Parts: sequence; structure tokens; C-alpha cells
Amino acid sequence: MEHQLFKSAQKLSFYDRFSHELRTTLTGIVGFSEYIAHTAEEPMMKFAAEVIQQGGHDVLRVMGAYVEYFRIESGHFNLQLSSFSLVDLIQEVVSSVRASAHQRSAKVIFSCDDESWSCRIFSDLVFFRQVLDLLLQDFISTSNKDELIQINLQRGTSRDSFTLSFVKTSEHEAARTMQLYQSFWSSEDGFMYAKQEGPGVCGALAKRFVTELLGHVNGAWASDKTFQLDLVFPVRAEKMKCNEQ
Amino acid sequence: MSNKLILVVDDNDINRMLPSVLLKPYGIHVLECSNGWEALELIKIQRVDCMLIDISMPSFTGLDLISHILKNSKYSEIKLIAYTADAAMQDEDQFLQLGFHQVLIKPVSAKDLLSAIGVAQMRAS
Repeated sequence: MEHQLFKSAQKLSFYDRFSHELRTTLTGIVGFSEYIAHTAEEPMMKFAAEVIQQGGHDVLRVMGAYVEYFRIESGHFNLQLSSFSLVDLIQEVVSSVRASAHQRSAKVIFSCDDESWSCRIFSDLVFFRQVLDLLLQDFISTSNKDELIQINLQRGTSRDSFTLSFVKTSEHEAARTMQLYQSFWSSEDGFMYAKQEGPGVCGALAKRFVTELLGHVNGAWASDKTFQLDLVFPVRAEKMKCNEQ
Repeated sequence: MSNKLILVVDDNDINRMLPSVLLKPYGIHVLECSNGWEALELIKIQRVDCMLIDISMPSFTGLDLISHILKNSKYSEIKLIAYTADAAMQDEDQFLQLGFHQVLIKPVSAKDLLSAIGVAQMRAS
């Protein structure tokens, strides 16, 4: 066990260093592409600069995911628990990913039932936000033009669970997306290396976070268009507060 | 904000030049130094409002530089921003505890720079 932790710490140290070098280099790429995007008069030049800029941010996101994963694996990960509204958090994340969806001409909408609206949960707000952000970004990255992505939160049958569903209205490409997510969720330890086609590492990292934070999670395709994520709070159920209670 | 003078201290040429390019359209003047010693010499003769300080510089790091600045009350009006590629959250807390008013994680946008300069000014005042 100690040997494993030591190896993980070494990996973390390497990735921290790697992340530093990557960020240093990307500062010029992302920064100057922003400058070109704002100053170029030719539309194609502007578009090209925006593509470079977005690519830089995508690389950073994947890199950040690796570093956070090794932070967890090496034990350098402390939860900062607090009480917060799950609905507020999801709305915030949905707002932040709308730009990515817009780039793909897809739309994201969020809805929830009355029961979920006033509930507060007890967890790590920052990492929970990261989990949702990664899951949604992954989901959006496989969406198609003019597709509608519906995020729905519902209180589960037991008082300590929620069901978060991601639903795509377009059937096109649904089969491919389903396959990617099925292989990710069926992974034994919740971690897949980036050897697979699609957003493997981010999705796997998200599952790892969810597992760390919640104790139990179950994600599956409920139909060919619906990805359903059950969030269960077995340990901290007594700390969940509902305003209506 | 447009009459402010910003000093960027970074050993990487491109990253040192970038704030100047991004802030120029907003009328903000930017000076550049490639190391901490040069920066200390410059602020002796030139009053600056804000400093963007890279942390990982060879021989004289950003942390060495800020410790020199904080020792001298003459520089107490300067707003200090860590301009760093160390993205971990604990690093950010550490930088704030060491006396930086704000932390800016690379890569940065013009919006990030403007916001950091604004926030740094508020915290310092």
C-alpha cells in the first residue's frame, strides 16, 4: 500500500511539473491567438485563431483532469465539505457549458422536480462542480448540430438519492455515444486510460470523483437516448436538509 | 485604470510580452523585466502601480522577489499579482498567504488580466 502511494506521489509530482511546462507554453499559444481573434479583420483568420484558442483550453482541461486524478490516487486530496443547493450548482454548471454547446449548435436546458428544488446536500462543492462539468462537457462533445440536451434532476424513491438524467433528443449518433459511456461505466475501478476513442479520461475521472464524494454512484443508459446517473448519499444522508421538512 | 503602470517580471520572453499586447488596447502601460534583480532596480527609480510576478524564475524566484518588496515600506502601495503556471489550489492559497494580492494562473486572457488588476487593487486598498 505504502509502495503504491509512493508511486502515485511520484506520478503526481511528474504531472505537476508537466502541467507547469504545458501551461507555460500554452500561455503564448492561447494568449496570442486571443489577440489575433480580436484584431483580425478576415473572418477565416479570426475563426482559425478561435480554433487554436479553444484547442489550447481543451488540452488544459485534459491535463488538469490527469493531475487531479493522481492527486486523489496519491492521497493529496482533502474534501472540503459544506452544505449547498444541488439545483443551484447544476444551473451554474449548465450555464458555464452553454458556450461549448453553442459552438456545436446544440442547446442545453435544465429542469428539476419540486422535491429537488429546495434540497441542500453536504459535499465538496468545488469537486462536485468539476464532476458535473466533466460529465456534461463529455456529453456535449459527442452531440450533433441542432441537438437538444436536457438535464433533469429528480428526487429518488428513497429520501437520500437523486437521479440526474442527460437526454439527447436527436437519435443520430446516439448508438456511438452509448457505446463509449457503457465501456466507461463498466470499467472495474472506474478508471480508463486515454487509449480509447472518445472522452475516456475525463469521464473516468468524473466517476472517480463521484465515487470519492458520494460513496455510491450508478450510471447507465436508460434508453438509447438517455444517460441516467443515480446519485446516492448513504453516509451523509442525515446531513441532507430540505427546507420543506 | 488606463493611467496605471504595470510591471511584468517573467523570464519567458513570450509570456512576458503577452500582458503588454493584451492590455495595450485598454490604454494600460506595461513595463517588462526578465528577472527579479532587474525588477528591484527598476522599481527604485520608477513608480509602478502593479506587478505581475512569475514564480518559477531561475536563481531569483518570484517568491524571493516578493520577500524583498514586502520588507520595504516604500513599496507598500504596489499591487502584487502572482503570474504563475502552478495551477494547484493549495499553491494559490500559499501565494496569498505570502503577501500576493491576487493569483493569475497561466494561460491568461485580457479579461483575466483586467479582472486580476481590478481585484488586486480592491484587496490592497
